[in-house]
Amino acid sequence: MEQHRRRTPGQPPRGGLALRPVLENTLGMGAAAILAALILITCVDVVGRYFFDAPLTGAFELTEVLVAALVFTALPLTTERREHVEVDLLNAAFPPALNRYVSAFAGLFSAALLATFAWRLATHAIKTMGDGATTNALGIPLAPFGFLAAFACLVSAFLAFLRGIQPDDPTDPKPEDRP
Amino acid sequence: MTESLLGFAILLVLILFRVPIAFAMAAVGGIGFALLRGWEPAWVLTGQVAFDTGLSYSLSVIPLFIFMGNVLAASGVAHGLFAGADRLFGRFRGGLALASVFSCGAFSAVCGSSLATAATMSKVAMPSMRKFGYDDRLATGSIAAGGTLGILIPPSVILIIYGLITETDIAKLFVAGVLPGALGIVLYLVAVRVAVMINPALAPEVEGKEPMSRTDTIGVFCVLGLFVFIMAGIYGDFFTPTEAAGMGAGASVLIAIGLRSMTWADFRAALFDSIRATAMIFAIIIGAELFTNFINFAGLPDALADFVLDREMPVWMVMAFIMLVYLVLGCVLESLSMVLLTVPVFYPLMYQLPFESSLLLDPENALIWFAIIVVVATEISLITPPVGMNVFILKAVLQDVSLSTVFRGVFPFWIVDILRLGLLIAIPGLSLWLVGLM
Repeated sequence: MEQHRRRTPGQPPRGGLALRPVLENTLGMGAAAILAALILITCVDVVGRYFFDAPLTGAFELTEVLVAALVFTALPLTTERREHVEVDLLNAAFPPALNRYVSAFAGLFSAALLATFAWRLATHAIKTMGDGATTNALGIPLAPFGFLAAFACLVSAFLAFLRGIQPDDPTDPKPEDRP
Repeated sequence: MTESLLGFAILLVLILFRVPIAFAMAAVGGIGFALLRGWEPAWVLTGQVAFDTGLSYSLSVIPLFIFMGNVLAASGVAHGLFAGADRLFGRFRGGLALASVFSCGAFSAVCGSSLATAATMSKVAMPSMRKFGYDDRLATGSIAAGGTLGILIPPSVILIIYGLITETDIAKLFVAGVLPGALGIVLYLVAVRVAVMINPALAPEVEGKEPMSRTDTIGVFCVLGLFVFIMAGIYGDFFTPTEAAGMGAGASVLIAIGLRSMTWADFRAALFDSIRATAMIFAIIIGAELFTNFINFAGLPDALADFVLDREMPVWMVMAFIMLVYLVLGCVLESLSMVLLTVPVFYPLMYQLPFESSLLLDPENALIWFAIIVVVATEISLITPPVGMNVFILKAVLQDVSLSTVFRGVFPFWIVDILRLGLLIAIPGLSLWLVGLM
């Protein structure tokens, strides 16, 4: 069966690694603040445009860069909770020992891929910095967002690697959940 | 062609070995492209696609609409919708089941996700149905099926993403979803009535009325007002769908504060859930972009179009084949990945097929019509064994119900869904009539 893992509030941190609170209080709070800022920017822009004839300059660009920041900042949180969509259709068919290997493989594969992304995003950011690319109206430099994205992918790669070497998954469905 | 099929096969193997779908698509797509085109361009493309997808203005609707749905789910308006719907349907046998279906549809109008709709409504509607002795099959079936409307009735995350892949106007897609969504509600109501008529034991003879407080009434008007505000804003060109999402998110926070039912912890959870879901969805989008890039480069969509057009296959046969692909894939894949993987392959066909209906001769109309059909096919996959996601959501909320109970309860709704899919394919006007009025 497939699991589209959703949050369960109040879930205890797992595996004795108190990574989750640390992540939530740093990257998580940052991403939450960015989301709040996104909402505020749109509302100020639209309300300003219709009621005060004063739209927010560069709302479009601000939205763009903030979405990028939001997505990548939140990536480690999603990875840590193993909330990326996975298909565990074969879990019921495999013996538990094999499932551990499969889970470890998935973790290491994800780690390798995320590390590749971190590398490519960093290269892209260096190039962007060299070009001096900025947004049109506000002149926000784009390179820092590229480095942020690369950093977030690297953190995510590390978290996925942890799963690779510690494949037991406490969020795994219990046997009776399976069809 | 061969490369694409090989790519799909490797993708499937990786996915079955529990590699997250997003990462599997990115790896197969990136490496496939590198083998066809060379490593240097593939490396450059990877960084660029990942970064540019993040930097997308139109994709900003995703976190905003998700947040709106999460806040409203925590704000308690769902109970108002359920109690209000019970005022409409309470006098019929099976009234609470009818009310569940109807309130699911109503909550869909402010929530873009089927899973969130089903999760929210199950917490509201299940306790009452249990209290009055409803059969678990009818109770869970009506919520699991009703919840699927979340991705059809606007706002809809899936329609937004379809719009981005095919460069179709998101406002038009939203408008197109309204009538088919309403048709879905009506057919589900009929399904409940027929199920109760065939087996009266499913619903109690008499049931109490769901209590409705003043806050509940206000909540109903807030949801109604918010939906009208968003749709009128988009329809009347007052703001873009992206701005509508931001305004809707802002308004939902005001509603939640006004109703005083949301705690700080709820608010924090809504924020954190939204950002994690956003990262999850964007990862899939980035992966799918790389994968699509590879199959486009390998020429799969063209090969498919040539295959179909050279043989002069009748339109109905092509559509039947495509629907079969969706129903089969729906058994294995989750809805968003399924749409992202299949739409790029099929949508070029939509402006080449020799349709009989004059409405569909306009390529944009054909794409809008296809969007609605894809979404309804995806809805069906949400309640089809073995992976019906909405069924699992119900199972997760109600630990003591077995999966087979929910799947059996969903069966009448599944039948009317197939009927609806057929109607929508046969009568494009159902999807396109409102769009034509825009």
